[in-house]
Amino acid sequence: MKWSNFSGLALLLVVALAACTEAPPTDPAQALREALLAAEPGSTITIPEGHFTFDRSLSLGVNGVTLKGAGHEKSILDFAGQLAGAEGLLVAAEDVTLEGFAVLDAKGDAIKMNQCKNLVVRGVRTEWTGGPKSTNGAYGLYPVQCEGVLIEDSVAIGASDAGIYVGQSKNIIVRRNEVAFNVAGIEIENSTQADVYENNVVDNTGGILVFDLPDLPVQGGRQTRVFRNRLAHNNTANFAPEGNIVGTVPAGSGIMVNSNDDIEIFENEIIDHQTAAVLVVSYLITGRPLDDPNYDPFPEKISVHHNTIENTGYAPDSEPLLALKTGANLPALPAIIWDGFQAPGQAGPVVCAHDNGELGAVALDAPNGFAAPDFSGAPFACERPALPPVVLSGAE
Amino acid sequence: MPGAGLVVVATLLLGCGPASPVRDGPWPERLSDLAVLASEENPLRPVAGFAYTLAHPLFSDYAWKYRTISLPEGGAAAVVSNDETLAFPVGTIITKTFAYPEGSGGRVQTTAAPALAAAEAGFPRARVRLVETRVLRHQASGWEAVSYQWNAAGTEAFLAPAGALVPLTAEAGKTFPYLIPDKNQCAGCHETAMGTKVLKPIGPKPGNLAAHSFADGRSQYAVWQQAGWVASSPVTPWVPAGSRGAAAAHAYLDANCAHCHSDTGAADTAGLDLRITASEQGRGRCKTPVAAGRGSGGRAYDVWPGQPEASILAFRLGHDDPGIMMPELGRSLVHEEGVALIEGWIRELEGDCAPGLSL
Repeated sequence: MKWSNFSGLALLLVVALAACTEAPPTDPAQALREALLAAEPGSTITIPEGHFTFDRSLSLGVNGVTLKGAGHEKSILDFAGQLAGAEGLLVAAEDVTLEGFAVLDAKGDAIKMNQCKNLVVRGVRTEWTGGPKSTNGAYGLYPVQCEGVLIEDSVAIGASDAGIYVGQSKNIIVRRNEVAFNVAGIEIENSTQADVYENNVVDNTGGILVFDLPDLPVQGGRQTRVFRNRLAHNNTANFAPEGNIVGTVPAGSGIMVNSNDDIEIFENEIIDHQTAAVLVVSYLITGRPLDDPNYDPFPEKISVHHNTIENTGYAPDSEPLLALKTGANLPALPAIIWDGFQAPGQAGPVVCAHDNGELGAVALDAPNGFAAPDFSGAPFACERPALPPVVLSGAE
Repeated sequence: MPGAGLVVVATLLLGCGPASPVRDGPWPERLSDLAVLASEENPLRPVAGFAYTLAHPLFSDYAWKYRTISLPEGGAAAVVSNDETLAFPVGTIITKTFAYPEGSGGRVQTTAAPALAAAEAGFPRARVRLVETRVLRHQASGWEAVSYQWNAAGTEAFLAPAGALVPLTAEAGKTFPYLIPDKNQCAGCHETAMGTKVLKPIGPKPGNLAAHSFADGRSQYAVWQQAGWVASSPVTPWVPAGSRGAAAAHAYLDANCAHCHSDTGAADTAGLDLRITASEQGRGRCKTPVAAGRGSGGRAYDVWPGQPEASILAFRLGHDDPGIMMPELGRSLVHEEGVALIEGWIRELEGDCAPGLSL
């Protein structure tokens, strides 16, 4: 290399460095917004460590993008001052990975992911920092109408509906998350093939909900396994705004199934729930009108086995259940409660329960005004074959 | 060769203000370089194409709207159906300029827009504050949407793909953040079939266009047909602007909600259909909320016949909290006249819903 060439290169470097140091500091929040808008498919957008505030929602509409922060305690996206947008971050794209950041105090939902495929959420935190309040946003992590959903090692706190809510989706794994102080900790709704496991679900109103609801474009929710989760004292008073279906969840419900089919609940630790460890109901129990001809309101093929259950049903947050407890002069209701609704013409068992300890099960006679509840355990004396695991590529 | 550089600069200066609209390629940084709207003339008016009006517009914080369409040479729009957006040819450019009448001391007036006058005369520039011009361009690759933000002097608008919140103060004193949407937010409404990544115009539907008549009595749609801008075919106009009752409410819901609340839109997850073609049940009669969160307002049903005060639809339209309100984007103020229209419609509905119970 000749000296003249070298000096020219050196000069260029000096100019480049000077330009870097003298450039006006860019607002990192604005830089993130622009990076999301300009993202190329397959690219990774890095969120630096820091606390960034936003006055309007962010969105991502490009397939194949990874949005990666320095960790959910380090890369903080703060929406407390949000003036526009119904969520903190909206993702409307396929093959997106969200990793290692937090969305705090969004005015509506924290992170909504609409019609996605192959979604990965890893180590993300959604939180409303003022504690459980009805003025908090509805959902923390909120994929809807997605196919292929992996949510793992994440944190969801304070949602006035569900901390982690997977709706109208297919092929789902929700695992190893910390979920606290939401109305519903984890809710799988109108979805098929979900594995929910090894989550730590505490201090919500209801711990894990598996629901199938009418008047939605995607119905027939079925085939969900809820296993090896720790559910503890989900006794927080229901703070959902009225009118929402989770507003009907009694405080102190560990796991609740509403109108879903093919559900296997096993090897969970379900500790200290004032209403029930496991509650299986039909949509009919809500008393809401039903004129959706495509909807099946009856839960079927529910299997509850090998769960560790302690301290349950001692103060039911439900008028009929409280009346039942008082009327029967019981210190506590049985751990497993089925409302007794059954599809017309079907006499076979709805809920099979075995190896869940000594706290028993009761079939309410809800269709007949709770007239003849069955404490014998006979309606639950059956076993069902295990459901197959959910297989997601990329999720070992 | 310094001389050559000077020649280039001189050419650029002379070539300022291209003669024909920029129908494809990169978006110009300056709106004037798109060559569709005259940026410095008074009133604001199209230099290519024509202005039009919707009898039933989207509410946008009481902003006045001035809409233009520029069709490519010899191009015409095709009818899809009476109640669906026209199919415009590749090369079409649609603009919508948002402005407020100037108030006192830098404030703006938030009053219902005189749509009729604006359509024909353009904005009287001396009396309005121009905020943004949204542009939809039908390129060979499909529609693209972006907004241009006007400078304070109102002499030029600049490409604003990241959008902005513009603080405005209404004449009455309330300060509100006016949202210029970013590109994804444009798509949030204009991708009317969620997941397709295909954008479309929303407003220009035959029924809505035909519901507007000019001061001389001519139907806007008939004028379009005579000019050859749209293929001749029968049209059933929606009710005229300012109407009340069920038909007007249905038109209002279509214009303000149906780009998401259809069988394909971003809100199809909710199972609520607010297109003008929807049934009363699809429109939320006795429908329980799905993912409304605090948007339910403690109310049990989207629409409870006879009881607007118990209907979620009226609650969300009447709210300005971004976590509650509907539409969820594009307004910071409540459209009082719109809420009154919807409440009136619900009040006149016959029937009842069952009171809800819980376990």
